[in-house]
Amino acid sequence: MKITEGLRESISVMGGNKIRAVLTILGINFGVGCLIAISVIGLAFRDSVGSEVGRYGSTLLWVQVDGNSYLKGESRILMDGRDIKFFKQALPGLQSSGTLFSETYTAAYMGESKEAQVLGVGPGHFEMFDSKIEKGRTFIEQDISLRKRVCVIRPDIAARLFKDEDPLGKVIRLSERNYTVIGVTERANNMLLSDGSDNNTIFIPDSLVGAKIWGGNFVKYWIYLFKFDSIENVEIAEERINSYLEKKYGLLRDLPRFRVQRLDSFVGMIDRILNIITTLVTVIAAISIVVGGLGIMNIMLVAVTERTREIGIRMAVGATKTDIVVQFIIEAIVLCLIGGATGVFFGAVLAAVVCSILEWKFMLSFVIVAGALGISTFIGLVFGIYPAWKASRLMPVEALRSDA
Amino acid sequence: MAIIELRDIDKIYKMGNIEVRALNRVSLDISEHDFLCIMGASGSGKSTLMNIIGCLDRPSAGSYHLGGKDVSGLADEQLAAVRNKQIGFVFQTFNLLPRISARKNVELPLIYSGYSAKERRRMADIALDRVELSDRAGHKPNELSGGQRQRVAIARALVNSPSIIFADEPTGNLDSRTGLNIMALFQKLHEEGATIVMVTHEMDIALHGKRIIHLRDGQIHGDEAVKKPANAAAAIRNLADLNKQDLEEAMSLHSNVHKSQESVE
Ligand SMILES: Nc1ncnc2c1ncn2[C@@H]1O[C@H](COP(=O)(O)OP(=O)(O)O)[C@@H](O)[C@H]1O
Ligand SMILES: [Mg+2]
Repeated sequence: MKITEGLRESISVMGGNKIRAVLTILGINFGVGCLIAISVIGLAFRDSVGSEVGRYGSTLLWVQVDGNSYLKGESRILMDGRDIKFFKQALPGLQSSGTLFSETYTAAYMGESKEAQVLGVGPGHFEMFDSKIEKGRTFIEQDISLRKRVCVIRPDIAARLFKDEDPLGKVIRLSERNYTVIGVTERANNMLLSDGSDNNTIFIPDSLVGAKIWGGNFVKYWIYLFKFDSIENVEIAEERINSYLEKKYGLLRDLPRFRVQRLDSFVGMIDRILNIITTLVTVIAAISIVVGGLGIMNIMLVAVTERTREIGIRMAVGATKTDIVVQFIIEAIVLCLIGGATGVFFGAVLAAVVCSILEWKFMLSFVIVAGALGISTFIGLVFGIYPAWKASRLMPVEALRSDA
Repeated sequence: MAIIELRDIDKIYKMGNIEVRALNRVSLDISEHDFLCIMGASGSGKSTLMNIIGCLDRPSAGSYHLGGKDVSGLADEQLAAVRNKQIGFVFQTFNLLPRISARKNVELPLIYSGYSAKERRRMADIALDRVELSDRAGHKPNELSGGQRQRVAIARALVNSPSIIFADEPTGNLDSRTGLNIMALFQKLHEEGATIVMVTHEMDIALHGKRIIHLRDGQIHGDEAVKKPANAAAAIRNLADLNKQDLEEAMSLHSNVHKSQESVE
């Protein structure tokens, strides 16, 4: 029997029993949907990590006080300006560096006020985190060194405090001090790796926050970020910073007081987590596809029993065993393919929704779709063979005697 | 020359450790262009014999030559080809596929001989025309009367121009007038050159053939030529010659029988 006849036949059979067909393909549908969704989302996630790592060049490295080494209440040793000075001259390929201080204050301007996150940053900060300025300028070295009372604000706080006024040059009040607005950034995009700012953040020079938080003129740092030109220099820096800090401050109960972290190893960790999730979902999908396949087999066995007389009639007019086997295998494959195709559709829709929420790039490759349909065909074949063989096994007269 | 030669055919059904000997050393020659009726009581082995010569089943022992070729040794796939091309089978219960139209039912054997869709349709229409059912080609079996269904089944048996048509009690599920129509159709096909082998347990049906054999307990117990076969077409004309009142009575009886039959189905 020709394939086209088999296809036409199976579609007419399914048309006659739509509910059963739908229930039968659910397992395959779910499994294939999971597979498609996880592969598309995984791909999009890797792409987004990749593009951010591309932006930061994965050559970002930061040093911070390792809170795990300290006992509760124990006072912590912080880095100071001399350490930073040493780093700046001892680390080759350093492109920019800076620190982060974060506090929440009430910001006020002419009777308008708003709780805002205040972030103390260095001059290289905006470049390091790829925040673009829309109006005005960012900090320059002098703002920091002279501890000028200036600030750069995010668009939401600008709109809240200044309405339609131009914020540049205006003075806002933050924790009983006045700061002049020198710049407004573009909207913060929803990135995986960020400085922790949002669209309500106010940036001020870190020297000011440092002085405010740690008191006095001598600024101390609990976290410091560096960006390098190459991964080799990141490796050199990691080693030098570690040995420098250990030599200078010593170990604390055999534990280092500071932790040096690299963006590239962070990315590797994210990748490992993603791999675990992918494996889990794939296992679930595989199980549900196999269970779906068993469901197909079950329904095909029922179909063979129900249609024994039809099989007898077909054999009586000249169908060979092969014809019958082919017909039932095609039917099983068509069922699986419909399940697979609808699964591809639902999985892709789910992935598209997730990607659009997380602002990731949605990519559905031909290979993934073809793979999913290939798996469906294979499952139909594997689980269709036994029922099909069972259908073809009888002599025509035995099949005709069936009163189903 | 005999188109069918059966020699010492046995058929034994095994049910657990009970053996039923349905055919016991049956030997039979059927010549080309014959119209043979196989008669016998219920359980005498008629269907068993018919299924074996129709290649729907295999004998337990004995040899069977069809058109000079030994078919008892054929593999399943070759036997299917014999059923497809050389044999047309008509059943008591019609055995049409309920999901598809009359035309598609008639096309069924052609699917397995590899004809194109266009060719199949053309051949099916010719076969339906031969059984005078062209106007019902698009109807599904459950939209047809019993007689019409049997005509579809006969068209399906004819469509691949087989050398022999087998019919196992083709009128068994029909009222007598419809049965007569079916017999007229078989006689017409026979006149047009068909070889027909038919099973029946009714003598007046059997008398439409040219030759009658009697089966009893799986053995042939008589083989006779019919001197002057009954003419079904003439009998129908005679029925139509009844005066009008009788005819209407007959018709209403007919439709009653028909209805009750349908409700049974
Ligand atoms: N599949 C079967 N299994 C067991 N016994 C059978 C089977 N088919 C027929 N028989 C037995 O074989 C004998 C002949 O049956 P069958 O050929 O159907 O007779 P007929 O068609 O003349 O009524 C009967 O005794 C019947 O019970
Ligand atoms: Mg019988």
